[in-house]
Amino acid sequence: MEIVCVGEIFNGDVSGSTYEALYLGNKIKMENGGKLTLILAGKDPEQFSKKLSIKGLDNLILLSDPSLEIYDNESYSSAVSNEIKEISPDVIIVPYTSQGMDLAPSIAHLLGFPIITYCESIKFSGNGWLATRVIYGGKLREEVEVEGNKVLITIRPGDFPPLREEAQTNIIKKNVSISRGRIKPIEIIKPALEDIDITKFDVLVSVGRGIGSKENLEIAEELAKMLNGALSCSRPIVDMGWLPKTRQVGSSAKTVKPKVYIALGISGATNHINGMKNSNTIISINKDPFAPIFEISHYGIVADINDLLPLLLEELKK
Amino acid sequence: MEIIVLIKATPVLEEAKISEDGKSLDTSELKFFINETDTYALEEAILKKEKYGGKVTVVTIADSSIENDVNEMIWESYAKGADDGIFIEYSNVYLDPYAKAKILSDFLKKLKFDLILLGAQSTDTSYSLLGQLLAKSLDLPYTTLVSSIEPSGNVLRVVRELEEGLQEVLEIPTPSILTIQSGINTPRYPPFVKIRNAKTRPIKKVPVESIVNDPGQYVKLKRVRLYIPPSKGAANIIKGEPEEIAPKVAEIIKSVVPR
Repeated sequence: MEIVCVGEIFNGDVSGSTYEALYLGNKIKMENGGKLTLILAGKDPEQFSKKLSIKGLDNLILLSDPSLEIYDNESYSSAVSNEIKEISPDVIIVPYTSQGMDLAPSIAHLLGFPIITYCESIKFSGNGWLATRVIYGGKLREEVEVEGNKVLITIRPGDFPPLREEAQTNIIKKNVSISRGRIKPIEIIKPALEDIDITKFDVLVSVGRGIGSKENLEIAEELAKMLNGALSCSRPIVDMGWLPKTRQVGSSAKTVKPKVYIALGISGATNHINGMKNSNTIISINKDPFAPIFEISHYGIVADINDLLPLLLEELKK
Repeated sequence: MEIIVLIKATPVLEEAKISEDGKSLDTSELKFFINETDTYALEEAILKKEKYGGKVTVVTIADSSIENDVNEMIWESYAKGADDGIFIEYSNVYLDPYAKAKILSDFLKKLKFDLILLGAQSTDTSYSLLGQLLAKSLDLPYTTLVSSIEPSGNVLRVVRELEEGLQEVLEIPTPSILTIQSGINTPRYPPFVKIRNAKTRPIKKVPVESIVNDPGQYVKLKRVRLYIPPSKGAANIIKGEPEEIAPKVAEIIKSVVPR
């Protein structure tokens, strides 16, 4: 079986999700036999050839062109697809990141592969590929089948451990010449760092949509201060403008591993869970007894934040 | 600018119930609302119309069994500022993003538009595929996770949200398809009286068969099973009256927080 992973360069380095895709690729290889290839495109991907010489990875293909310095789906998909065609793989694995969400459908289209996004696991089942997907915010799973022996899947950051053990890998360097498509990438903007770093705290009090009101946000902040911790949040709080982006926990924002993580009114979307599930102790308060956050919590408190939070603060002050 | 906004009715789900076929969700007791990121796509379209003129048309594909909720969703879109609403109806068939992209492509290629907007991800099936597949089918450029759109000469200057707070700026011509990330704007809440008045306005109903024959044939991602994952729940569950559990929760916090 030929397995291809499409890697990505993010903020000047190989993204963590690239190693996770390799882990799944290597797992499929061990189950079915075959070869594992990683394709990495960029302006100067050769600089990563040493760290991408990894046990289990048979071939590393580095595609370079100045036009690949900043990502866009048309140039990248054209460069990567041309290379994948040569390999004629059975399965292609792309991380479901901001780049993967954008890029993978274009690659699938150019190669005529069906694409299954947001997969938790995948196996070959006689008729074709069978993928398990996490849907309805983690409350349901579905099994999706595509006919035929070819598939492109995207996997969610944080679902698999990284494959990183160094070894010899066959490295192939290619200069490609890309003609720019209709999209013109201009620049990458980095965030201005003017806030605390939530990854440095032992205790995080984290608020989600269920926090309900700004008054409760203040109580949560008081709780965080009392515990020598910091206030963090899930995405909806940032979307509402209640806290800055620097406080957002999630695999697409900040991945945190505090000693204690207290989740207040956070239901537990995958992105959030994969950004905090490795915390030492997780205490979650949510009024929905079916909230997915409880699945990874050490202590799950089924209660309305509005009622419990003020009482809790009084208790802790005693 | 002529803008088409693709919106999806998604259910609010607490405890899920699976239908007897083991493949579909029992929706009989569920209430459907506009998908979260679609509210941002709609708001962005209305903001652009208010600034640059033009027209906003909302288009949805949905099962006729949830017709009432879909109507409500379109009326609310009218109350917010959408000009037209189109409801492509189907029944007794499962449609994946491939089938929906085929239907929309055949339907939209006859319409004139500058931009198609939709939410970056749905809260139900979370494929994040429809916009991209539709773009391929209509041969339009697309990009995803858009957090800002500004016209710049004859192109759009668009910002995409990346990980860890980084953003990418790019230029994309029109017509094109953009999938919208939450937080790009602050969606408005229309006053009740506007929603009530909107209910007198017509919704264009289009049976899916009038666009394509046997839409099920375009499904590539066949759902063979839908299930509730085995729950292990939290290691320790605490329930009860707030007054009763507050001291317990305080004890737990004190026992684990480093001093």
